[in-house]
Amino acid sequence: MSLTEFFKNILRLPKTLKESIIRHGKPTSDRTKSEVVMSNIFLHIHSTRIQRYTLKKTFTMGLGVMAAASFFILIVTGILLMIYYKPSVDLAYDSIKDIQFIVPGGRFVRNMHRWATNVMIVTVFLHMARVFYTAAYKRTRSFNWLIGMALFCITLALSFTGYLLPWDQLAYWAVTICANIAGSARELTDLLGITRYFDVGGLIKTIILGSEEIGQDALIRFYWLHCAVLPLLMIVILSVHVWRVRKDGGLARPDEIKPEELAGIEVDEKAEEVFNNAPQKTYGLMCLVKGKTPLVNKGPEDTIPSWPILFIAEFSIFMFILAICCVLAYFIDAPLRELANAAVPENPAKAPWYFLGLQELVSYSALMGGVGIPTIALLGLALIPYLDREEQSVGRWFDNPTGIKVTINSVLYSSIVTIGVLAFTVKFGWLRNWFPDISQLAIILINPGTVLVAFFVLWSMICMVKYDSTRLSAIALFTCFLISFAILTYFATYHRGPNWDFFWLKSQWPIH
Amino acid sequence: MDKFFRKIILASSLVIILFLLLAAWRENLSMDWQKYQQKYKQELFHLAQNDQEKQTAEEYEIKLRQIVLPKLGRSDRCVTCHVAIEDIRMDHMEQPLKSHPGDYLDKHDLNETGCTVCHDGQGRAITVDAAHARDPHEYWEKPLLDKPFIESNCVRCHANTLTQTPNYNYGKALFKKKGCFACHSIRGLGGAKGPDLSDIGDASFHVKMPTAENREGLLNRFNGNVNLAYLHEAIVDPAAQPKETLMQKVDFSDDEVAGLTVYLKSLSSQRRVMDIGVSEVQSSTPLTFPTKSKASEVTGASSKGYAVFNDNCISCHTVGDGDRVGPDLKGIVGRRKMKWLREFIQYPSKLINAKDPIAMDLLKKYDVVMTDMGLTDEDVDEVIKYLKNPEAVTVVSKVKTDTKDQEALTQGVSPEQVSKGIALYQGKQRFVNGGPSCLACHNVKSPDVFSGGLLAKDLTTSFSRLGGMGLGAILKNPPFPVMKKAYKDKPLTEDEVSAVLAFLEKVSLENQKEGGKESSIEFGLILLVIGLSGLFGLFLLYFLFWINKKNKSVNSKVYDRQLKSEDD
Repeated sequence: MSLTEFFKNILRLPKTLKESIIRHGKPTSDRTKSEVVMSNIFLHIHSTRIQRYTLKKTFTMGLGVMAAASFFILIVTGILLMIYYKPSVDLAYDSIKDIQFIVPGGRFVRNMHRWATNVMIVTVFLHMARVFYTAAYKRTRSFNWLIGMALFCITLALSFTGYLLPWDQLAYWAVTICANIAGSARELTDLLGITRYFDVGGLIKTIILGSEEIGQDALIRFYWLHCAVLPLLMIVILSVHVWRVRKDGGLARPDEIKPEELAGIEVDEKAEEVFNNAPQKTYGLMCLVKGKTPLVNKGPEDTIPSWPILFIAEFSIFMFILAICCVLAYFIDAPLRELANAAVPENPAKAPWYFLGLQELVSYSALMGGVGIPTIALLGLALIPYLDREEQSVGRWFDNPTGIKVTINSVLYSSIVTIGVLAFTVKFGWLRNWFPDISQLAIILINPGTVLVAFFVLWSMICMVKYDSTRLSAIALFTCFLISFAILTYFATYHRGPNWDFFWLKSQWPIH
Repeated sequence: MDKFFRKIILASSLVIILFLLLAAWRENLSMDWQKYQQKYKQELFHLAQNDQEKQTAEEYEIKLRQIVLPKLGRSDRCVTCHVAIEDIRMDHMEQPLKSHPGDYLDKHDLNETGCTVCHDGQGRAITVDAAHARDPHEYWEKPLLDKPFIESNCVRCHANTLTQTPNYNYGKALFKKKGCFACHSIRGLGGAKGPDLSDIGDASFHVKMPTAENREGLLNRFNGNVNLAYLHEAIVDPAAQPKETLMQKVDFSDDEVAGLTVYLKSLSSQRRVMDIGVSEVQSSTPLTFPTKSKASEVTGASSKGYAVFNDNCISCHTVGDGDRVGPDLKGIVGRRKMKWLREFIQYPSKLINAKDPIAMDLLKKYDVVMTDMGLTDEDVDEVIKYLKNPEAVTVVSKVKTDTKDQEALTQGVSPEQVSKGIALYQGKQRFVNGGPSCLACHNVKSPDVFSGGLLAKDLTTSFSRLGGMGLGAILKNPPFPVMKKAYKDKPLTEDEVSAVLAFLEKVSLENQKEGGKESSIEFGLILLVIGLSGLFGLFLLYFLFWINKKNKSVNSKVYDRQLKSEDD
């Protein structure tokens, strides 16, 4: 008896095993579709039903998912690279060469890692811009914007710490530049004459590098940050970020959506019915609780089940990013120069590309460019949701025609101002060239970087007064910073040569 | 909607599969070394004369090959393509399957020396371009060396003069004979007028590169070796860069240029460091040159002449200390005619070219051509004035009061010694005989070290109190009971004593300088300040947290309401 039972059990094994893992049936009905999402730890970070507006392609453009997808690629390729990489000053460079030459697939994996990094940084930037321009940081989503800022910083930190690991000239000198930027508070303490007693810059630099110069200590520190600490932080905070999207009531969407805006997106006929005909639906204690919760005062919700459409969309974005990385990795090798040599400085020594805009500012004043302006910018970005509390419709690019107008004007304004200041500086120099004995304090306070900031703040104030709107003023300021950052990055990448001199083309660089 | 995403998935998947396949193909099936090894295998079959040899050919495996040299930190994969390098039957083959020419491999065990130690190139690479590393735009450090430049790598191991390196030997001799070291120094030996050439053979292209006009041609000529191209340019046309160079153009023959290039290429930090026990002779005793003391003040009638002499002549000549490369110049003014002397000092080449009898004699005797040092008429006058009466110059060690100048501060004590002293004092570097570090018991007020123990006397002013001699004696043979016990059987070596002394002297000097001002700050004070401010910071934080604290009971509101309603 039990023997036959036993054989039956063996035969039924595939079925019982599957049932023990997946308890719901095929996702055909609304109920099972919800169960697919709810009962899966990885999927349940999404809600079971999503707003149709969320799937509007021109709304999010999938930028957040793109960033997450590239992060996933980075984790996988990074784990593979860790097998062969040796974080030692003597072995690191050779291990990278070995990865490049003889590790099976090593070259491709390393290239993928490099390209996914760049894709991630670009998409994170664009994702931030998208959230800003669609006003998605408003109402309940303020805190998630802050979490996003943290993720933004971690992304840059991850990329930067990884930059040193190959231990080649490019890495060594780029990190030297950045370490010096971190130590630029010395400019201020020097000025006050207190560096001897209270060397903040030196302290920060020593904390980052583990010693005065970049050496084994710095390498192992960067390795530890790059492979353990920062990825863990990233994963945890990223989870919170995505979870908050759900808790804040899904992606931001306009209060009134015209049907033609949702053309082409599937409709769930039942949604109308369910929510319309449920007058007994209450919001429980929510109406007694202070503050706003997402669902109060909402009419019938235009939702569809997440499964499968949302997951198909996300997977397609992942595959798209993977394909881009594959193509780039096949054709363009990640750079690897000669072994790091502390005695032979690169000229020009350039930071990673996403810091080049800052390096351009640093070339005017290390303190302002390296610490002051980034702090102001980050602080300003972080505080946007708390300073701009205007009630308005969210979820549309630039809000309305006025917003578009302000954005376009700001793009023009900041392009002209930035290019103008750069051209002026290249052509005529700056205070130090005119008054060689001028106090460093004057340079710290008045340099092209601070002048740009002043111009932008002025413009933003003008917009605030003219349109009587903090939101439009914020748009003006954000656009100015964004465009200026892009121009500075481009300028420093292509038009700065040895000794940080201006050149039209790289081929004009003098080499002695 | 759905279809749009599905299409993206399909297209992306196809692209991904295609490129993964392409990458796999590129890496596994399209490599040149596989073809070379196949060809070698065929040749083995072709040459096989008996069954056993056929068997060997049959078993020949197509795979990556490498020579790992842990001692040299190299992995040479050159043998992946050059598989027949030890197979003398392959003499007739084309590269890369040719066997190594000459009998070099008889004496150089491949498994001990590898390839790149002699040939340079990128040993880890397995493609021709990357391994030969001839593209200067791709940042290769050491491109493959051709004949005769490969001779310059022999000195990585060999100290002896080798008969197999005629160009190197010739270049080395020429460097001396032409008086190059009058201006250029190598490892601290030689003049200071021109750049130091110690590591010129390692110079990366960031540092030394031919000028734009010559670059293309020279790089082609030297197969993309930037270093050789630069050396060639510097020898043949010194004025190419920098334009205002003092170095004069010398018409070298092609052989001479080649010799000098090989010799200069050999000057590198790798020199002799790769010796795996092949040299019995140590490097021949080098010429000794007096080092000029920078921190000295010269007074006297002909101090200007002394300076000129020091800058230009001292590499080869002495005054009263005997012949070196050139003759001792003591009393030269009495021996030679003034007009001749003047001319010879200013333009020696002119006289030599004119076959002046005295100049020819000198050349014969010393076998080194005196170099035109580019002296002005005034310089010549001054230097002759100095040579007339060298005793009229007094050289006094100069103490600068500039606090920034570390070197001056320590009064001729070398910074290396001081830093060694600091390391020893703090115990960062152990005393050779195992004695405990000074810091354990002694304190010193210095920004370089942390506060030390309080067990024994503060050593901040010890040097000024006891002087070098007294302090030295204490260090060598401690008279204090505890110290005596601590250093029993663990005496400091002479070298360590002088290092610690150097450090204490520096501390003492610094303290004297800052005596009046109360600017010397102790770490203890800093820690106290940081600690106190931290404490206040914490208090502030607590305060901020509690600022909103309800100082009534939780239900006081309810209570109040009750009271109020009772009132009503």
